[in-house]
Amino acid sequence: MGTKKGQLKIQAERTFGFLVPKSSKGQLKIQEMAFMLVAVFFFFILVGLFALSLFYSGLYKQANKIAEERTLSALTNLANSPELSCASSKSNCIDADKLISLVGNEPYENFWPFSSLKVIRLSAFDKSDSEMIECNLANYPDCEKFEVYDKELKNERSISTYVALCRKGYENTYTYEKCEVAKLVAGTEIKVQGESE
Amino acid sequence: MKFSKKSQHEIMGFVLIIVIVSVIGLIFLSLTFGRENSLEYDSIEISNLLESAMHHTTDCAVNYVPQYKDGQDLVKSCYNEMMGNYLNCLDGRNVCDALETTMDELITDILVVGEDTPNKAFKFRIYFTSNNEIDPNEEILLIEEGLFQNCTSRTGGNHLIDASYMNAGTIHLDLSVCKG
Repeated sequence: MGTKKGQLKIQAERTFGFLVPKSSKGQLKIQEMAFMLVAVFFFFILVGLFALSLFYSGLYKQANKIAEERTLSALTNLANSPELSCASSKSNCIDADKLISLVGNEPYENFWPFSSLKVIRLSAFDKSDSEMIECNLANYPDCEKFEVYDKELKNERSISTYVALCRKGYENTYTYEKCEVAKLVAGTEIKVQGESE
Repeated sequence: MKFSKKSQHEIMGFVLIIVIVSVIGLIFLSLTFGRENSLEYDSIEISNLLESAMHHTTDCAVNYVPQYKDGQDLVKSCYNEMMGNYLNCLDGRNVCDALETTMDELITDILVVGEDTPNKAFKFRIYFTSNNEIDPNEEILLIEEGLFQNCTSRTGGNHLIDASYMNAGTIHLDLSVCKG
């Protein structure tokens, strides 16, 4: 019986020898390989995470840029709307003579999708809001800021773009179109998560 | 130190893997960061500024007052002058000088450049490109202020003026800004 058992053992070793570690050196090699595989696996996971984080940071940047461009396009469209556009059909141009009649006109609060709307002349670009001379029918055109309306919201983000602001000038018995660079500033309400509309 | 042939192969393989991974990583990083540093000419705000500047009424009158030229007319007149058709403003100034003064004042007033301001430098360039691709670009005006160094971001915009009736081409206005 003992001999048969021994013969079986030898046969098994011959058949499945490649699965059974032959020595402690072989065991060590397998262990090394296992550690190496785990290290390589973690290395690629880390590289993947790094790549993903870079990809998503670019994606968010792109999304913000697109959102900003959409708002700026809305402002450009606003400047080209019939209520504000110049008679000379210049694009991105606001007629100051039309604009002064809209100053303080409350129904326009619900007409445009902005919480506030104002136009600042070039001469007041470096001034603070309180320093600017507000335009009204009495002081036009010797003024700096046309405040069309302001809903005075707390959560408001202002966006601005450059437009040409034109008005009719009069000199030497001639009328002419006098244009300058101005800033069209519109406020949009910031939606806070959890707040109802 | 003596290595067996098998371990030499293993070392070679390992070095090869490291090199391949490093090269891939470098290409990936250069693509990612290189793209961010590239100059962007797609800012709507800057493009709108250039368009508005072209509508701006200058103080250069021709023929009679108040027949003042706007920015766009002055650019075209300046290019015409470069072609040999001389034209002066009524106050005796050359149209190209008037263009340079007007644009310099306008852009520096709007994009205030300085150490304590968001804008560190700007480069404003007006040039003519012919429809005929062989002809080189012709510089009309170049205004630079500040140094394009250590910019956290660069932005820019452009505006085109059709000049097909003059010399079959387009006048380009490029403005790039270095933000600090």
